[in-house]
Amino acid sequence: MRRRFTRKSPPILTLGTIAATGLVLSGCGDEEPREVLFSTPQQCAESGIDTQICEAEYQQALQTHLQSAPKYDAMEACEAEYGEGRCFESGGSAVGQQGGGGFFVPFMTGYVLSSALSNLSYSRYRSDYRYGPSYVNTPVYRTRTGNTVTSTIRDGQSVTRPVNVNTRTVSRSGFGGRSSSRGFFGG
Amino acid sequence: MKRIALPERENWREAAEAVGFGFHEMYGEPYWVDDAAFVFSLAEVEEAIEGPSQDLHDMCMDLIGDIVRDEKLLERLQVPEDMRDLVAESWRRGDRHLYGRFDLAYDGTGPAKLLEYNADTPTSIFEAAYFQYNWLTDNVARGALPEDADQYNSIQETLVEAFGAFPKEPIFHFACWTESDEDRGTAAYLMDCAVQAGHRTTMLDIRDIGVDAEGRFTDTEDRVIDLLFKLYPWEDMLREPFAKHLSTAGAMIVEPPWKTLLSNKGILPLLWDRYAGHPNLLPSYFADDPQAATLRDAVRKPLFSREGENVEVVKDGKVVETTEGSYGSEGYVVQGWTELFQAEGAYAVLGSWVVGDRACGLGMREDRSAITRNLSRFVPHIILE
Repeated sequence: MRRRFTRKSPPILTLGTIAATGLVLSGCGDEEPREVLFSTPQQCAESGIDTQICEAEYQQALQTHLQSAPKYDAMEACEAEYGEGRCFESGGSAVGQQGGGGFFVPFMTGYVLSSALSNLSYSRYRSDYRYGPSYVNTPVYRTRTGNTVTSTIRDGQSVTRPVNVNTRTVSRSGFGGRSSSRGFFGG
Repeated sequence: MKRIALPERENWREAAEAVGFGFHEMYGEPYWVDDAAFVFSLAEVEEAIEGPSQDLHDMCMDLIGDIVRDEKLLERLQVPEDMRDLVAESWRRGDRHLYGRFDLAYDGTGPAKLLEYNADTPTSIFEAAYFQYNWLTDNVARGALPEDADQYNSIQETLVEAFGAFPKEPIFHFACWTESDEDRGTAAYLMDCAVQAGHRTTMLDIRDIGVDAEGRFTDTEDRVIDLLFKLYPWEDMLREPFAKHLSTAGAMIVEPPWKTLLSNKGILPLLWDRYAGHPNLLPSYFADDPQAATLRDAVRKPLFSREGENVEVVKDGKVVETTEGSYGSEGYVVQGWTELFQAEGAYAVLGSWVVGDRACGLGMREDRSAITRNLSRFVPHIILE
């Protein structure tokens, strides 16, 4: 008989074991740099990152923003997504832009940096970090519905996607209360 | 279909522990059975299990379209009034789903019968997809089973493919009741499949989900949750304090809200109403329907129940067996009785897996009672001939 469903080699586990979650849960994660969202260079500096770094990264984010911001042919289309008064006409040097016609992009509302920056001096930042593997600088936009998105250029088109931005939790334990007496939930 | 015995693999317990399958024993009883197997023919698998499972899933999907348009049916299924738009909208939007398990009665003769659809929080998928497969390849390798022994099991590759269809950009959060070894193991296994599909993942306890000032869900590191797998029942989530944030949180949740309609036992009378006489369905009615009394041999089940809790078996109009539990306040359904496969003093139920929209594998569980409970045991299966 020909085997229809299975192959000779069994499936694999990438994490090695389904008990690996012990590690995932307790996390050496506390030591890992996080991505942090700032609205302004001032807010960045208040978080303890060197002021010059905050300013330099802000300028960098603006550059990226001008190249990769989500683009619209009409102001109305942009405002429909990002809200009234939250878009402007841009002419210049965008990637994928052909000819001289203007287009409309949302204002950048913030930028995402790595928390690793908080341990760096400006000189080390300039010499090492900017070229290192953990470098992060992403302009972000806030949609009308309150989602924070980033934009990247793919095949000449700007593509937006949500980011797992950092925020402040105001309440927890709103799920899990109803059936705490049971101790199992799957079936 | 038959049940055979074969010598257990040496060191299978160590092999289980090595991959984190600590719950091969649960509640002090063996859960994984290494020294027995159910044997099917390819025709039995294709014609009695795979084909009907695909049909049943397709029928269920058709039925949901009717339910979300009908306020009376949403009421019947006890979807809280203020959550009905959320559920209906998630269906209309086409929110992507991941997996489900049909529990089928089949004894090798006649058509398999649908007992219920665990479409929201099914467990035992690690055992079915991964450990059962290892058991097969080990036994073929040591000559205990023939080279051409097959298994109805393309569950893992189908899971990886299904996970591949979810957006890769946001972190895929996996929430479960982490104190339960079985639930945590199940979530961890699915997380592994997501990693294989190219996702970044992290796990958290269902109670650790937070909200920020804008009503978005957050994890323990104060990151916004954009994509969430939860091994926790929708019927509970829809009634808990954070339910009010569900419509504005902006998170994509797996399983999606509309799955609460399928994991509901109320789907059984609705299916019977729409497809009366279908060979894979048992006659079923809501308990307050006068026709329920016409079923002299029947099983009475709560709309929401996990692990066989609060179930009653009725023979010739009299209750002959009951299980205790904490379910039932939302109402009951009554389903016609059907025989289960019996061997070695145990009753077997087929767990037929649907991943994405594809029927793709089988896991067998047996129990000493006709009501499959959380003390049931997992028995591997093979296909010969």
